[in-house]
Amino acid sequence: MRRVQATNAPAQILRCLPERLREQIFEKDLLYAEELRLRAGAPMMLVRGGQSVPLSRGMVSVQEIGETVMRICNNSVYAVLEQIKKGFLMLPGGVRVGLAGRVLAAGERIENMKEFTGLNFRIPRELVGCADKLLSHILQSGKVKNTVLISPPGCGKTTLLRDLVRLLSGRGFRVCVIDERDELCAVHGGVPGFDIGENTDVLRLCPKTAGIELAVRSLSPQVLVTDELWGDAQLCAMEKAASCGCSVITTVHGSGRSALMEEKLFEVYVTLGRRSGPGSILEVYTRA
Amino acid sequence: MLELCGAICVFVASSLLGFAFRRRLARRVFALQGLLQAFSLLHTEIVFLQTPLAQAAEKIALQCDVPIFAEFASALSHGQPPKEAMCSAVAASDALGAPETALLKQAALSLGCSDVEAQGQHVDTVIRQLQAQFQDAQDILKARGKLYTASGILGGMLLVILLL
Repeated sequence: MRRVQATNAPAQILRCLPERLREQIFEKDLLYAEELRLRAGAPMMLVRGGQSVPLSRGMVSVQEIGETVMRICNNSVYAVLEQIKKGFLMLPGGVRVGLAGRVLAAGERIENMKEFTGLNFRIPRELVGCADKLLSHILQSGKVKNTVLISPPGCGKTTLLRDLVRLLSGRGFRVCVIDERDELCAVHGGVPGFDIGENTDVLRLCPKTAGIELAVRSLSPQVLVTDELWGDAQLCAMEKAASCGCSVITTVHGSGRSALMEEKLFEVYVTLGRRSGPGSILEVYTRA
Repeated sequence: MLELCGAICVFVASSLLGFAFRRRLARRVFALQGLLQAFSLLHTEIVFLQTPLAQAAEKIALQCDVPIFAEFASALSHGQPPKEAMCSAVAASDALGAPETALLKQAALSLGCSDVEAQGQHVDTVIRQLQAQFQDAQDILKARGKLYTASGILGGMLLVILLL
């Protein structure tokens, strides 16, 4: 049974907004929203059910966006510079804030971002029980099959993955989560912001390739979980972990499994969509 | 008898005034010493641990007895930007002189705004400037501290002699 668990994400978002914008939005507006967007020269937008709804009277200014960024950073840019270089900031409660602005790059390497012109607050969901149906597909004679969750952005991959972690951990599997963006487990003050089970270890803000090796060699996980696999290096690291005897579960941006069928790593392909809301499972394909 | 009591009162008041002036100078030295210690710790927290400013200030306020830094930490934890937090912290203190007050306000403008390396250099500069102020305050205390105390006592004596 799916049950929406309340998080402190809306309160964390409101804390960061300048007073003028904060006055134009209620906490309950954010409870059921997927995103809150601030763009310089445009009204504040709430994204709900895939639809953008303008919220604010008047336009958001560049100064207001700059002020919001500094509040998100807790006035400590140096402490979150690595996140800024990757184009996001994290708030307690698992809220990922995407950044738009001027990128300072040296060749292909991003050194910094400044003159922010847009912010995208991704509001996390904890849908307890949303992965119940999936469990029978990925468990086989006491072992977890290597699984990939595929969907375009905003279709509930992370939410489903989080619930999967909780379920597997609850069944006694030693789960290790490489939480590169602190989004999956939303650890704050040493405590996960979501229920991720009692047998789960978390490597926070850790690059995936390094984290996978670290986890396999020091935490002896049975199941290794990462979110948003990107590029060959990360895929190779996952293959290596699988060859070491760990089961791997990950998510990938995509519209279907066809692009991933050549990878022999995965045994179960779960395709998600928004047919009946975020997190709708469109297809579960098990490799023979 | 009444004259004697009056004379004692005048003498004690004048001496206390001298001691108060000396104490004011000593408090400045003590405050600057505390600030130096606090900013050294802040350097470590920023450069080696990358602790966010508010948390770093809170930790330092617990570690060393520097009322200005405690005020600064408290204001930061209430969500104030560093500039405003420092302004309210220095306003709440009467131990500091005008140069270091201006220095701290100026320093707060750049706190937290850049990467670790730049922040480290910035805090180093603040420490160097505070050291110069500390040296200056110590010199003033040495030169004028005894003078104020002696002036207070001798001034009191002179008044007593004149009044009697």
